[in-house]
Amino acid sequence: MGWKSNIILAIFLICVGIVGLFLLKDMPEPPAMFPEILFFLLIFFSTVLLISVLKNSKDGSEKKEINYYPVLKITGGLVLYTLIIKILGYLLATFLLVIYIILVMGYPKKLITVVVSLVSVSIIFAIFKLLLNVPLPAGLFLGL
Amino acid sequence: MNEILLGFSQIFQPLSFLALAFGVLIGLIVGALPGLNDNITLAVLIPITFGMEPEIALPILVGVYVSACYGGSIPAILLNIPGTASSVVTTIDGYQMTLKGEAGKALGISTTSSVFGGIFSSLLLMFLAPFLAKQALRFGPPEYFALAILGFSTVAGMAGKSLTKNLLVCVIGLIFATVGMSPQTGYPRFYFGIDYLLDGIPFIPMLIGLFGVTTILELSETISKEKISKYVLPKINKVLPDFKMVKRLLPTWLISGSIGNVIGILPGAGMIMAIYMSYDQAVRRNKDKEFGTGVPEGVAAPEAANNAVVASSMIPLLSLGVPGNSAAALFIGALMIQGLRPGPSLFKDYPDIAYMILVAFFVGNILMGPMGIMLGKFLSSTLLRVPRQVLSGVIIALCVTGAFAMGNSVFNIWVMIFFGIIGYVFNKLKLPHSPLILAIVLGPMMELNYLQSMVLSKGSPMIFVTRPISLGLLIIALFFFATPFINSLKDNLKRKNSLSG
Repeated sequence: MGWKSNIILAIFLICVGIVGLFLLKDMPEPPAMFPEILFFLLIFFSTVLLISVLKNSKDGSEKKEINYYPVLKITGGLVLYTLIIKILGYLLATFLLVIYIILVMGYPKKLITVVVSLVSVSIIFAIFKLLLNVPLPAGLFLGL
Repeated sequence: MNEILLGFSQIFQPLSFLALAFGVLIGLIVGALPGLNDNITLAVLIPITFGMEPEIALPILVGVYVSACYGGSIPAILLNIPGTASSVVTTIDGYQMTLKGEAGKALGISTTSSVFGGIFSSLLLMFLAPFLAKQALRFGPPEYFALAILGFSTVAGMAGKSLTKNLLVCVIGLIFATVGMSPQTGYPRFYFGIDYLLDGIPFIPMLIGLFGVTTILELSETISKEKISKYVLPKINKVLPDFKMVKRLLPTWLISGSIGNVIGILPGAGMIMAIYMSYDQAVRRNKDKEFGTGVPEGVAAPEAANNAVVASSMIPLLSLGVPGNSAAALFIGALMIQGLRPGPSLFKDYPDIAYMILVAFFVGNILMGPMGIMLGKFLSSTLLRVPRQVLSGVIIALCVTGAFAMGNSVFNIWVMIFFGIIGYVFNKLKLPHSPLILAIVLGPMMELNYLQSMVLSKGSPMIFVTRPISLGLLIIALFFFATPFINSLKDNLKRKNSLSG
């Protein structure tokens, strides 16, 4: 990560600070005081970061190739999981999630993947649902 | 003294003791597994301990925290693979010893050093925490406000070169902390119409995201291309060091243990700093030895230091309610779900629990040695065969379930994902995590106590400098804030001198 990302970060945070201050417009004084100071500090430190990065723009800009695909796939999988957990139910959704994650991570053995997923989700289900009485989502189909 | 005995009698109750031993075992396992550490384990275990009695839940967590960094040294020595970040330095001389055929000796040194460092700091914890807590009972709102400022100042003081980034992260954390109803007035802030956020950002799902999900995302970058390889374990001979060796290592243990203790107490400093500082000290004091070639002191120094950080990082948490590092912040979560509040009132209202925690650190460290020696070889040979790809799937399942269980709501899983991404982006931008957590914990405390102080003083900020304890805390804070500036001034002067000379 070179200096470019730091510049983007600083500008992004400055924008957050300005939007934050804007949001505080209608808030009464005591609860607004603290956030107001914080947004000013955010803008201040981001500006300091921006200036220092621009000053030293030449060093530390070596690029390292990062493989973002698996990261995006896992995040996407988690988002999808959260969207459908109430429909599929905890057991089925989590079973599929574990298989998906192990495959994205690049593990080649399919049978072991399915077995591990089945066993681990069953144990976790037993701990949380049966021992701790957590009402895990049952889903629309299986009633699990 | 009586209270400490009370703690001992509690921890030696069969169930509590078993829980502690179980925790130590889990700690050794996750420590020895590369990619897993104490933080991620504590984060996924806390929801599971939710339904347990505190007498069982807390010893498990203490056991994990106590033994994880020692567990990390086992593969560091045997295979040159640090099981946790805290054993990175141990590989330098530890693995060299293994190559020389001294694997057993190196393991023995790491064990005795870890136990020494751990007991050293748990004794400090046992006697200092109740004392500090007693002093803290006299604290009013201005003192707590000053304490929060002191907490931030140590983060700034430890920042090194990235002071701006550390302070930026503190501010981001403080902004996250303002989400929900404001203290005193109860005015809803930044909740964007989501009722779940009125109580603030749910703490444990956030930690699960920051530790669990972030770790998996980081791992996925490299692991999907990694080949699954088999490790060959070296032969292990005699393990325990003899008296001569103990005598030789004692100064290193004392110095490294002290470094670990001081760094542990300071919020924001952390284990990595302790291991490098103590290794550096060992190198300086033993100029006749060639470090990096398998010198016993090179194993003893970081191992005594990292275990000394463990218990001492709980001192500010248990006595003042300020977490010293991420693991201590996770303990806040663990105490909270048991309905307990870390800080001085814990010793007053629940002395049995408070002293049990202190004693558990002590006993856990004693258990860790023999358990590590017995299981060390077995753990390294079997655990390193578990593919991390498979483990990642199981961890994700624990993360989503734990996050959901903390409020029985799917919203918590969203919070977990959000903070998992935040943690990942932070890593990429080289923004540190621990100031974020510290700020989220200290934010509400700072704001509430500021407002209450203003009520006390009828609006005059002079209240912070007219009360002696508050003034004292603020002066120490000022010192810490000034440290990085003084250091950079010194550097500049040196550079000028060397340029002109």
